[in-house]
Amino acid sequence: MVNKIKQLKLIKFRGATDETIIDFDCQKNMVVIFGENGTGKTTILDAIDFACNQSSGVSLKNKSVTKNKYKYVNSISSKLNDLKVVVATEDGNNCSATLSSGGVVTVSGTLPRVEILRRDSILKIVTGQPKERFDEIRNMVSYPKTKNLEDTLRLAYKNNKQNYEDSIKAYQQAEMDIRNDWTITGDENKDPLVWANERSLVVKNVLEKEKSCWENKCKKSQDLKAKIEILDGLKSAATETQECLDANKRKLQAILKNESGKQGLVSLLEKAKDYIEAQTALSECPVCSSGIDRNKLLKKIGERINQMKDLKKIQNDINTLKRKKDNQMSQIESSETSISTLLCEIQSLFNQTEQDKVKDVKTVIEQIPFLEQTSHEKQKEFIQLDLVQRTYKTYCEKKEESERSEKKTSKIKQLLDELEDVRKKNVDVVLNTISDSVERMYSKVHPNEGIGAVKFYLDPKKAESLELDGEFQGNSVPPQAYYSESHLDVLGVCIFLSLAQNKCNDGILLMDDVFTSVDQQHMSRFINMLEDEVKRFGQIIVSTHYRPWRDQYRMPIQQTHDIQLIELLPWTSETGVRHTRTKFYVEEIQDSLNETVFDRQKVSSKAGILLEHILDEIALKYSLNVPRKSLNKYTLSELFNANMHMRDKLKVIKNSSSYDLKKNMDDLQNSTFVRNEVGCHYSKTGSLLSDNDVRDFGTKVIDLANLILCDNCGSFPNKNKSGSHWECHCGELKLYPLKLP
Amino acid sequence: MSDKTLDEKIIEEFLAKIRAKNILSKDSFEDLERLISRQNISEEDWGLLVDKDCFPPEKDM
Repeated sequence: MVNKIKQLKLIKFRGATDETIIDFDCQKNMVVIFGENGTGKTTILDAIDFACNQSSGVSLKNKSVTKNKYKYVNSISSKLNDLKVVVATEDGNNCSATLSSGGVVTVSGTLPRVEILRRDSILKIVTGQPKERFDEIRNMVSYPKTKNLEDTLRLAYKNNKQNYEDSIKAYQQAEMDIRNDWTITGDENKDPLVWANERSLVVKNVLEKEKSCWENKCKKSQDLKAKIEILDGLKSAATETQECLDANKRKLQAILKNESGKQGLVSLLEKAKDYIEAQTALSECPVCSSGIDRNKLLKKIGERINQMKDLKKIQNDINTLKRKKDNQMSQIESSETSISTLLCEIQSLFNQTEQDKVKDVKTVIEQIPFLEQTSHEKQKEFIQLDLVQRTYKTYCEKKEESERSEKKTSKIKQLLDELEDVRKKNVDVVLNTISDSVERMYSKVHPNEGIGAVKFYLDPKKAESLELDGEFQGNSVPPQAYYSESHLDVLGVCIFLSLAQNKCNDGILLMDDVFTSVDQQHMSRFINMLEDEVKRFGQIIVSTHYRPWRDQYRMPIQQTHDIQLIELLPWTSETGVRHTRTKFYVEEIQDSLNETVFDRQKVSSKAGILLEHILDEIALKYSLNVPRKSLNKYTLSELFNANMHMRDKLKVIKNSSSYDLKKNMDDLQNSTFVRNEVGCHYSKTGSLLSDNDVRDFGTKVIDLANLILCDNCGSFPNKNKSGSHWECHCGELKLYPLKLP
Repeated sequence: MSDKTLDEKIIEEFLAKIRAKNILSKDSFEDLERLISRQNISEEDWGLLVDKDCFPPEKDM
């Protein structure tokens, strides 16, 4: 729903040092604000931007003033809180916008969406980097949620595909291992996988039990053998001990033979010595009570003991050997018991029919090589079975995993393909819409110039990068590299208009004096293009310092009821921004005719200019012959003479009535002297003409102008849609013929 | 011009295609709708969704 701005009130806002009120005609879709430089055009558009977009930076945002640009938004010599912008909208709302000391714009009420194009940002989207360009259309082509879906889906696809490939490799490797095992131990009459499957069904526990049993038999037999060897060692050592003991005994006998009867003397002496050493005050013999010298006695006993030392050593050795032998005999006995027990254990491991093989230690030891070989074979058999079973299990698991992964990967790919397809299609629609509308507008301004065909596209290799191509002499090029400044200016505006159409459909568009480099011919085409596009927006407010734009709307040929002209008056610090409604030319003449103090010269002069304008347009439309002149300026007589031969064919149809123009033309041709005599030159003849003659001339010109202007849209019949006649903007008025017969 | 964002348009069209082409089962499609209504979707979320769709629990078969 279009919600146009009906009235704008500026109080202490930028150039508006006093209160400025501007009324917009909501019946008209386009407002052209004309003003010389410094009259307040930007102030007016800034005020709308300030209120509708809550923009505190307004046109200062790209200028190198301080960081706090809002400080300069209030008019000079006023305070920030004096500033106020009031926007009244078509729906009856009055919204006021104020600025806080911190630079925050506060608006009461809801205002329409506004897009503003300024001179300093016109080329941003054309000459900026692809990333900056993308930022301009981010709202239109950004798809964060879709991006998240697509990114995670793509990651899931990648990981599943990897898992699928890994599981294929794993089961293929397992299959190869099975084939290798099958080559060594398998059944050549069976397929390797069938063989492996059968092997996997073998109960491993039975084989494991059998293997353990043989291992046990073998180990215990080996233990038995080891124990026998130890027993043999013990027995051998005991024999040696016995021999040693016997030798010592013989030695002792030999010593005792010489010291016959002295057996036990050493120990007796040692005891006597211990006794005497303990009796420190001993002075007489405890046996015979004769007097003794204790120290001398001790010395003598010591000497006697030493003489008996060898005997003592032999006695000690014998005692030690006796103990050793006793110990060895005990070990032998224990070993024999253990061997006997182990033999019984071994015998219990063999069944009845095998008892002969283990009837005694000897036969057991003889069985050891057989037991070792059998145990080894059983172990090998077990390991092979275990390996095949584990490999076959891996093969089955990985094969199943690969099948699952393949199915999942295929499904994810299907989802990803659909999402990518939908995303690309939708983004292309947006970009093509922009491209098409840019091309539509651009070709109106630059028809048949070999440029245009602008296409937007996203760089697939970069994130958020918007590329731009255009045509130049049949080649696809970056426009910024080949187009002239004015071409780029027009392109920038067309892109802005296109984006604005997408961004704020039915919104309000502001253009702040955007053209400086465009020549007259292209400017006219641009204005025509803008008039065509205005219906796509809720309201377009354009400011310009370009006087021909203002003047052409004043003249009836370009006049249209769909455009409101506002003219700004010179700015002063006391009055601020001032404006007036621009009068159309016909309106001015009519007002002059109605003035109490009649200005003859003004009426005849202005009416003459208007008549020239209408006749000139007819001459152009029908390619009439006029005398060739370097400046294309013709007199009224020349223009009348040019249409003389076709005047009777000119016919206007409006409001279901038909009007021939011949009579109006003939009457006016007979009155042209009024313009020459009164409006153009000093002439005595002119003084002889009455005011009524002048009024009559002015009225006839206005009648002609009103006849060829549409009562509905106010425009001149300039469009050739039917191929048979000219028609006005709205189609209500028709001018015949289309061409001269 | 529609008020839907590009994101909304893409996702709506994507779901419509999934449904029209029967790419997911009814249950999985409902799961997908729930998933998409969340702020963010992870790779694991997709994995679970597709796994459930390809190999539904026996009771669902």
